[in-house]
Amino acid sequence: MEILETIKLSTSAMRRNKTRSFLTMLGIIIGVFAVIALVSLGTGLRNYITGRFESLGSNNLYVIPGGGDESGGLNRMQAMSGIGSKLKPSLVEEVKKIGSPVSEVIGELEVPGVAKYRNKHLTVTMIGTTPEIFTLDNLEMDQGRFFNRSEVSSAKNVVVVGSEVVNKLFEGKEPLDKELIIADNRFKIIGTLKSRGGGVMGATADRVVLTPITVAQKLSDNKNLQTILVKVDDKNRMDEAKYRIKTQLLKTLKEDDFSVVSQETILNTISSILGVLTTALGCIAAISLLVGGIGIMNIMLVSVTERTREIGIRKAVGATNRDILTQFLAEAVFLSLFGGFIGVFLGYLGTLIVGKLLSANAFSWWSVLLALGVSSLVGVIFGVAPAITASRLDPVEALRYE
Amino acid sequence: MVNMELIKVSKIYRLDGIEVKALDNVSLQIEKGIFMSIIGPSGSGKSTLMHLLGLLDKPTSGEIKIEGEKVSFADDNQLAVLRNRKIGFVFQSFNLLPRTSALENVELPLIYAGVPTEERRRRAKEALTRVGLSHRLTHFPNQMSGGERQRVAIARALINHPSIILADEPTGNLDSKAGKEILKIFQTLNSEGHTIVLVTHDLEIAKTAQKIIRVKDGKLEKA
Repeated sequence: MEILETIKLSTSAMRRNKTRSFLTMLGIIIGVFAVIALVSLGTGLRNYITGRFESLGSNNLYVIPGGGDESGGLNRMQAMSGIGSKLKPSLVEEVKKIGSPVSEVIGELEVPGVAKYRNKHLTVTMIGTTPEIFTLDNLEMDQGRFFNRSEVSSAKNVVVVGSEVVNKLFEGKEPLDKELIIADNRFKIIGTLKSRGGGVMGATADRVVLTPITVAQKLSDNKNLQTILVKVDDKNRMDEAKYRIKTQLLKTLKEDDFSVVSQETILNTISSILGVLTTALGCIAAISLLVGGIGIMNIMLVSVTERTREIGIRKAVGATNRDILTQFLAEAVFLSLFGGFIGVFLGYLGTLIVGKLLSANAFSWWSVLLALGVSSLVGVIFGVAPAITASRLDPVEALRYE
Repeated sequence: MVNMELIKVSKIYRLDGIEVKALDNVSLQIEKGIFMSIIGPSGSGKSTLMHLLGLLDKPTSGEIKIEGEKVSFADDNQLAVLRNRKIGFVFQSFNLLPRTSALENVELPLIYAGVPTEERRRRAKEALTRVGLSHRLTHFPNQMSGGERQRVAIARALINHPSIILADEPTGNLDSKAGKEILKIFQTLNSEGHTIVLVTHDLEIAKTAQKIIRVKDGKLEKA
């Protein structure tokens, strides 16, 4: 039988049982949708974070607590949280002594807390830092000014707040010169930052309160730094700078107490973690595809029994076993492929929404190919058994079937 | 000339370990252009004979020749092709595909014969016109009377120019008027040169044919 005939035959069988066909396809639709949406989400997140890091400029080095391998991994994430840091604030001066290629050195200490203004509360990340961060991190002021060196040395309770803090706590009212209460201390707002971009992660970046490092040290149990940011003036001398910082710090610290990492290293760490996450999400979604496939098999088995007489008639007028096999297999493949197409379409829509939220291009074509490939494979795998059953029916028995 | 020949054919069924001889060493020749009736009560083996003649079933022993050529029952594929080219079936219960138009039902054997769409359509129209159904081309079986359905089945049996048209109780599900019309069609087809084998339990109907063969306890006797 020709291919065209087979296609006509299998689509007409689908049309005859619209509701059933749709419900059978639904399993595949959901499966394919889930694969595409979740894989796109993972990929989008990765693109987004990569993009964010790249915008920070690539000639920064970070000294972070904890040793271990430099390639990344989960210990690295733990180290980045700063628990048990041995980076004393005085080390900033030590690193500064290196001179060229190190151009700027900033110590940072993060203190999570709740900011209060009148009756409003907002969980924020309070970052203790020095004025150099302003140029190093490409920050932009919206209103007011950044704190200066004398405010750092006198540990004055002043803060510069991110745009989300302004929006959530002040709702359009003037924030400058108002007082925030964080951990029972009063802080005067001297400036506000421009938004660093929307999106899920951006929201956290905008939910910051920057304060002199000396102030953060007063608030924190651990007086030690979480990160020492080092700006290198020549991108080609990154490795040299890294080596010299290490040598300098080893005078006072042990090898396991710190690591010097570049943005690339951090990026690789996050990227590999997200990669694992994406794969895991994809696998979970693939299980729903499997369930969809079993649904197809079930319906095809029912269909073969129901159409026993039809099979008998077809065999009587000259259909070979192979013709019958092809017919039922094609039906199963069409069901899952149709479902796959609808799933891809819905997945694409879902991805557009994800892309809007993350402001990153999240749709990946390989997930479409994968989903379509897998769904037609599912059709073949789960369609084969019913199709073989159908093709082996004895024509006499099949014609007698009531 | 002989269209089909059964040589010492036996068919033995096994039912719960007991052997049942449905056909016992049967030989039969069907000459080209004949209208033959096979008559017998139920259980006589006439259905088995009909299934063997239609190449739907395999004999336990003996051989079957069609147009002088031996049929290999080992090869399902060959059997399907032979059924397609050489045999036209008309069943008691019509056996049309439901929710499929008269035209498409008649086209069915041609699809498996690999005939292109346009030629198929043309030939199906011709066949339906021949059985007087040119006004029912796009009707579904459930929109037609029993007599009309059987005529669609006859058109389907005719379409691939078979050597034999096998009709198994073709009037069994019809009222006597429609039944007579169907028998008339068979007579006309026979007069045009078609070989027809009619299987029935009813002697009156069997008498339409030129020759009557009686099946009794798995053996044949001339009536």
